Amino acid sequence: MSQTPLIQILFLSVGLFFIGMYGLLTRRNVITILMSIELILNSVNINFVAFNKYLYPHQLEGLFFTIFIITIAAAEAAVAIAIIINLYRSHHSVDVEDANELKW
Amino acid sequence: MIPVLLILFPLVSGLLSFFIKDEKTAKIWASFSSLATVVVALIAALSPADLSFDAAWLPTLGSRFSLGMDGMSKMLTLLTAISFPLVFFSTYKNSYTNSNSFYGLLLLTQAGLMGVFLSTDALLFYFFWELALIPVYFLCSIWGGEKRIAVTFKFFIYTFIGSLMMLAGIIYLYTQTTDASFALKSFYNLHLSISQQAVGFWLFFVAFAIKMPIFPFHTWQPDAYEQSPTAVTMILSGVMVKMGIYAVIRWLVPVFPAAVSEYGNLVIILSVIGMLYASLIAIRQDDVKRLIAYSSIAHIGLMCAAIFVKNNIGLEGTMIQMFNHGINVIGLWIVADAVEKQTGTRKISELGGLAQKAPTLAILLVVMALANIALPLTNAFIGEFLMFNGLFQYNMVIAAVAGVSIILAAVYTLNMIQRVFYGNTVSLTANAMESNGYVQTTLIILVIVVIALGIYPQPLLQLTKGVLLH
Amino acid sequence: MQTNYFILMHHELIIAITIMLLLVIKVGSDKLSNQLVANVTNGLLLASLVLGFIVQPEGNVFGDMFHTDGFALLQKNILVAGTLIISLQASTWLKDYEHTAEFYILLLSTLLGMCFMISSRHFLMFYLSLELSTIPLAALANFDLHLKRSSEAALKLIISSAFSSGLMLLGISFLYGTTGTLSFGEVASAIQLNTPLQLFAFVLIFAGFGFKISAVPFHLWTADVYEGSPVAVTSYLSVISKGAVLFVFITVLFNVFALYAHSWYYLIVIVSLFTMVIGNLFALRQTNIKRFLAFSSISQVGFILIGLSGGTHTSAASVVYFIVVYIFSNLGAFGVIALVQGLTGKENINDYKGFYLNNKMLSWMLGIALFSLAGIPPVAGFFGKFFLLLSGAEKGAYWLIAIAAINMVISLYYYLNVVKNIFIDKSDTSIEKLPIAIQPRIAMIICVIGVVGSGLCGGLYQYIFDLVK
Repeated sequence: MSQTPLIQILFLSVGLFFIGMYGLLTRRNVITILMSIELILNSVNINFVAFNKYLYPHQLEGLFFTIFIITIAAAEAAVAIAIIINLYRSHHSVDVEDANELKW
Repeated sequence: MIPVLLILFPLVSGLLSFFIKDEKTAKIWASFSSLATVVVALIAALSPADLSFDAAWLPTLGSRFSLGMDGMSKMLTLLTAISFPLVFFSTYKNSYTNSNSFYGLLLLTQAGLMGVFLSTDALLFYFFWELALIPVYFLCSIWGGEKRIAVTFKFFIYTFIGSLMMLAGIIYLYTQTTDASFALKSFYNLHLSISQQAVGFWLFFVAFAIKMPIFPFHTWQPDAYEQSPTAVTMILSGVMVKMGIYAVIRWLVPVFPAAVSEYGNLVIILSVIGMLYASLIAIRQDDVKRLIAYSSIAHIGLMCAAIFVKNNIGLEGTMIQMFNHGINVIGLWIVADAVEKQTGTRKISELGGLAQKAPTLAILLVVMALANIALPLTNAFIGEFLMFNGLFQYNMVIAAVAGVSIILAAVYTLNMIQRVFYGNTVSLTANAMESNGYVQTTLIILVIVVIALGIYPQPLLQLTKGVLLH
Repeated sequence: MQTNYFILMHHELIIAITIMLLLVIKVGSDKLSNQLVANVTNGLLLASLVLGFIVQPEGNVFGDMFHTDGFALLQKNILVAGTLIISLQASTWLKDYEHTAEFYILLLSTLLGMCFMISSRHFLMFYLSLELSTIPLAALANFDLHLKRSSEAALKLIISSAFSSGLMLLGISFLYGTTGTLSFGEVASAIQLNTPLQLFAFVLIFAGFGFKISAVPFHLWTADVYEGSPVAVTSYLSVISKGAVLFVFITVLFNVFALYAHSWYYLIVIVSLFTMVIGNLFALRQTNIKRFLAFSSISQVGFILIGLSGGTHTSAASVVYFIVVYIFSNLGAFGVIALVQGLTGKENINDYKGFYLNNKMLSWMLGIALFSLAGIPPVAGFFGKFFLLLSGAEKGAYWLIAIAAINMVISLYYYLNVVKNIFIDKSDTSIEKLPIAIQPRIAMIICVIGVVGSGLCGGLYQYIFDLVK
């Protein structure tokens, strides 16, 4: 069975990163923005795992890093969603356009 | 140790002054502390040798807490020391809200001034240079006249821009020194190319020119003098402008000799233009305070020009004149303030015949005014004579043009005396009286100094002898 | 070996113990006095600070992931001292607050993260501690639970910080791909010049740091978050968290990317220019004092970056020294603002008109702090800026110094404007005389002594300089 070359995996991860970035910058719904951030983090995860498997198969640093990123992302999402719920209570909306109290 | 005491006395007593609750106590405290400083300054001035103090400060940077006291420093610290008690004494009857802060800030200014005249380390010099400025900002903008806020702001921004240019210059010189040091000596030993000197020269010169002030950097000055409370104006014009001249003699001319030769001519021309310009404006002034302010610009212009002619006579004249101008201008401000207190106005056109009501004040003013136009037998004569001599040796045309300003000075000063003190009394002066004993006593002391130094200027000549160019 | 752990990590351990203790207290009793919680925390922080100066171990643990030495300890001490001051200042605000224990738990968690971050010598450790220091901060920013703008600020903070960690992580992953290691020391020796992927990784990591220290063009979240958060959190964000990230930034730039010094020099110079100018220009037009300080703190970061551009021991020392001074001055300013805001709810610059009339001590405190921020002698801010400029000048970039000087004039304009409002302007509705409780009073005295003393006492800079070496 032939292995997928590293470069293709990197394309995937960078593509994912930029999809995430695009979503972050264009979406108006806060939940979707959070999902875009998850996409960015997952692209990094793919990077780490791929590098580890293809280039440095004798060590585990990349894999460990991935596991930590997943954990932290969960914690981050938890806090973010708590804040969003709080915001929803006062705004009755999860649209970033409505979060407009602070401006220049 | 004496140089440190000169800074420490006003600094500590100034800080303590903020904690005094009672107005009268604050006044007495400030007067006594400043008298103590006079004693120290006198001891320093009378000691024959140069004094110095040196302690570690920022060793990694090569900056030391080093103070040095040669003749010029002795003379200027003496001027600083004498002028504060005179100011306190003559304004003793004025009352200020929050007077504890007022006197505290004045004493802090004194500490800064002392530091400027004493430090022989560039960083320390800059530090004190700014320390002298900050309290003045508060003094003018809290206790000043109606337009104080805008005026003080202008003054502060002007001088701060100058200071930052000097700071840039100091950093530049520091990176050029071989031993990475801020010491004055290391700056003297620099070997800079002519273009490097030009950069440093202008960075420093603009800072000093704003402070002096030299045309065309003078626009902050008449407004600031007019709007500040009189006590502050006396310090500003009597002592603070000397910072600029002192700095030119100590930090500019010896550090950038080639640039001084290159641009000296330009500076002299600027100064002379400033003299004439200020004198002409002074003739047209109706406000006594503004008149004195412009006359001060003219005098400063002459001093600056006399430094850049680069001969010993001019330099000696400038150094002596720094002291004498300080004394004279403080005397003039005291009279101006007394007139305003008695009549409620500073407008020359609204005054007249004051001599009939206040003959003593009139006599004292006349002496001060004569000193201001440098009549022989007053203290200013010898200084102006030497300075003109120096200018004359340098360039006859320039000396002649500068000489016109002496005539103009006589015009505006005598005109002011005549219109304020002589002639018929008008409604405002009808009820005027002699000013209080404090003012008169201070003026009498000043007059004695003026005449004594006019007849016997030897002590000042002796003090400044050691500083002359080689 | 076992005891070694405890000694090497004594800052972290004491903070962790405090967090545990507060958790237990919170869970254990339903009616606990806020004063007790605050006092316990302050006491333990003080203990940690004292211990930090007395016990100065040096060594590595966790397989060289955690490294501590005199310099790291100094940085931790600075942060702990800053947090202690903030905690003292916040006591007025927290006195009647129902979630005091939670506030401290979150605050100390971020502090714990920062301490680990300073000591980290491995990118995994660095990432974990960075997140530990930012996620609780977002929760803290939301602490005015009923205020809409507080939640808004928290949302902006967490999204921008998540995004910046994302950027940084991508950079770290590329660094891992090209060098095969994540330890700072090994990465530094494995890095080669002219590798595009490594350069790209560096730029990404730089951008991540840029977000955290709010350098232009990554500054957009700063002002909103500062304005919306409670004052105590704002001061924490602007001083402590920024300081911690800068400390690590020094390590990353000077050690890990030492080989790229030539590239990052220009990057830093350009970013610092924009940061100074834009921070200043926006600060000019602010009317809210918190927002004003936010933009002024952006421009201060610009100055710090000038110091960093030197790239030597001197510049590391000057940055650390500046941060010490900056902590004292900014906390001095924020302390007064916290008091005013806590007692009267006013936070516009215009509300400070005639402030001097009734509140002499607070006015002088604020005045001195602002003068220090403006960088005017004799207060310490001048020396801070001076050292930064001096180390920036080492590479001969005099034009940079000139632009910095112009920026100092601009910044003087707006600082003076506030000073003018306080001391000179009169107002019919000037703020009444405010009662100052004992804790804020102590904090204020510490700040004044710090602002005045750290400048005049040349030994402090010497001390930092010796530790950097």
